[in-house]
Amino acid sequence: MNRILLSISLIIILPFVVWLAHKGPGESSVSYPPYDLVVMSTPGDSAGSITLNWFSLEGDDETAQAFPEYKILRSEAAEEPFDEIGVVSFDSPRATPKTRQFRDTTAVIGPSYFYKVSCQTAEGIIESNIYGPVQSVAQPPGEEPIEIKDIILFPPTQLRVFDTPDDNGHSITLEWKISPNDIPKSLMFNGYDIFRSTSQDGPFERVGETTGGISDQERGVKTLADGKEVRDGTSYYYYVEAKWNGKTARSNIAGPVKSRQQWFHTGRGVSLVLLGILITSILFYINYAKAGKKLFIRKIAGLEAVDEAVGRATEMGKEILFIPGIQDMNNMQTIAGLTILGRVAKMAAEYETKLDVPVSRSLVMVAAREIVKEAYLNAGRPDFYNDDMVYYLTDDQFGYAAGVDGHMMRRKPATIFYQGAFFAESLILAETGNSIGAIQIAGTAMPAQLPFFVAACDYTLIGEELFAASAYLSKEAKLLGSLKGQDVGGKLVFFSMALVFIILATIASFSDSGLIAKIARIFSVN
Amino acid sequence: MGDLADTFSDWYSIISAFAIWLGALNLMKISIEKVSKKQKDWFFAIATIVSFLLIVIVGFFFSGGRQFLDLGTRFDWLYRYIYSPLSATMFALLAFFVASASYRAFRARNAQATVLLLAAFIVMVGRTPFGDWMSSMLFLPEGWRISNLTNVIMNYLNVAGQRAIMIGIALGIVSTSLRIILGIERSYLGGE
Repeated sequence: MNRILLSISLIIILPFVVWLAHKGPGESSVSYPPYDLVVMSTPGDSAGSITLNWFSLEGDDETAQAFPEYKILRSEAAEEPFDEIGVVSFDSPRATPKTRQFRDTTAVIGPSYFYKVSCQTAEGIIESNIYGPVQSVAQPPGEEPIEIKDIILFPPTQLRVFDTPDDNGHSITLEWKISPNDIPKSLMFNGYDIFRSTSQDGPFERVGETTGGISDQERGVKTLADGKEVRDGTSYYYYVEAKWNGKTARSNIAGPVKSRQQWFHTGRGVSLVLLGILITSILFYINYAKAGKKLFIRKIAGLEAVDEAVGRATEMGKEILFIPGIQDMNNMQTIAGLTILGRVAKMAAEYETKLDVPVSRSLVMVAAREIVKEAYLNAGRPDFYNDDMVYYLTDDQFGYAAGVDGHMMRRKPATIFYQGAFFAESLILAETGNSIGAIQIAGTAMPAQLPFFVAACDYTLIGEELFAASAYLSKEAKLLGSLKGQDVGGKLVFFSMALVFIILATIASFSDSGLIAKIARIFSVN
Repeated sequence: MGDLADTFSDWYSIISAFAIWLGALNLMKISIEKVSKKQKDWFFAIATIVSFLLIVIVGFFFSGGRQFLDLGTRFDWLYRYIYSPLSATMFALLAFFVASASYRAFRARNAQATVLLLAAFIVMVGRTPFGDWMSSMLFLPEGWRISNLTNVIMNYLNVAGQRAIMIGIALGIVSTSLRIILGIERSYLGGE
């Protein structure tokens, strides 16, 4: 009863703990007010003028038949009354399909100005943000004279640089508000170049480039991580340059910023919580089993058949072939396979049955020899052990498969074990073993290979059964306890939570409740 | 920690590279013993020895002053015209083995096997133009075309099953790793 209450309370409390540990997306650093008016001194205009750029209001597009005109308002202070200095009518040429521009040629060089745009629509007067102060500056003429109808490239703005979070250093993240000329599917916009320097005054060198468009739709920013030879602890300054129709426009210079290594990946707090629950459960049940309590483990047909398989080989006077996969000792499946090899080798030693273990990796050969030797020693048959029982063939996948197939066809073992990590050669091996009439027991944690083993072998250990085999065959209390802990702390809790969040996600898809959608998104796959 | 992990990974690669000599020498030792003692099937061991020595000697000594992996070297010729065709031949065996395994596995012995047979039929036929042609001949609505049924089976039923297996595998790996870290499981080191 206590265990049931504990499980239920865990299932109810856990989602809240996970929610607290969950790190949501950060706040956006950029702003996109209505119109998103941006104003600057016209580059390359030696006479001095100011160009305004804004996003067209909804309804003002190339397919519209009519739209109210935009009034351009100017003032010399943000609080003073604004005077109308011009209009942009519906049929004026557009800067881009989504933006409009206006050139204020009446601005005098020297004073600062504030601008806003206003439009009388059917819904009422819609005004833009106030942009300023901006000064008209007589700029050196460009390569070609600037015409009134020429479209000006506006720079990216609000560039922000910071150390890339949750990494091992050597990376700096940039985010900025895209240039108004950065329109989706624009043929003239050519992306952004990234420039970096260790000093605010330069010299700046180009360290990367990226395409146009917003990369973080939720936060409305363009982001890029600069990892090119970034040294931790060194201060860097950046600016971003938009490229459009052969022209470039620079953003503000942002910095200084230093990259550094983080100790913890805060975005994986949920994984930490779940892993903690799993480990706690395993340790609890290991102690529970050590206290002498009996634990029920369901029958696994493949492992129950190991005795029978070894006995069959003994009766027929043929050998046992054990294949521990084709991966190296750094793969958990290989280690799981070798623990099973130890049990099988002990049985083979007791029955005096010949055992052959062809391997695909040298380190596996060394480990397997130790395991088999120890097993023969424990069975009291050290004289039956021979180093050549475990031998190396080749690292090559199909070369190994060819070698093992040849071994099977010539020696015709009565029993074949496939325990470890396999790839495409799994079916070749299993079918060859089937053709010689051997009893085959397979076990792998490669989901793509399981169907082949199931089709061709007599018994198959599926996924976690391979890792449970060591505990199952040894019947040791501590090992059985870890199995129980893995089932309770892992499967029971995870699948209960999965059920809860599936229900929530289903409700969220039908309702407008943002809260339920937010909760459901915590466990969505990103 | 990331740099430390990279360092350990590099050390593992270095040790593996040296360890390969253990395997190669063991292979030669066993093959030579087979030939010298004229054990059963010793002539296959001759093929192993000759192939091994051929590749090693050509790779080390007959590269014409270039890197042995460069295009045009003798080693490259051996790779392209002997190794690659042999590898492709082994891979091609899979096609025949899939057919023979399917023939044995897809039998309507019981309810589950029948469901397996139907699902396999729908997926195999649905992946070919013949499937949709057959659906159109039967005047099935758009959502019930065999190719759509194939997508449903592969994208929902198959993925659900695979994910369940992978969750179990992940839990098994965590549990086994914990047992190894705590020293409860020592049999892979040759202990009990």
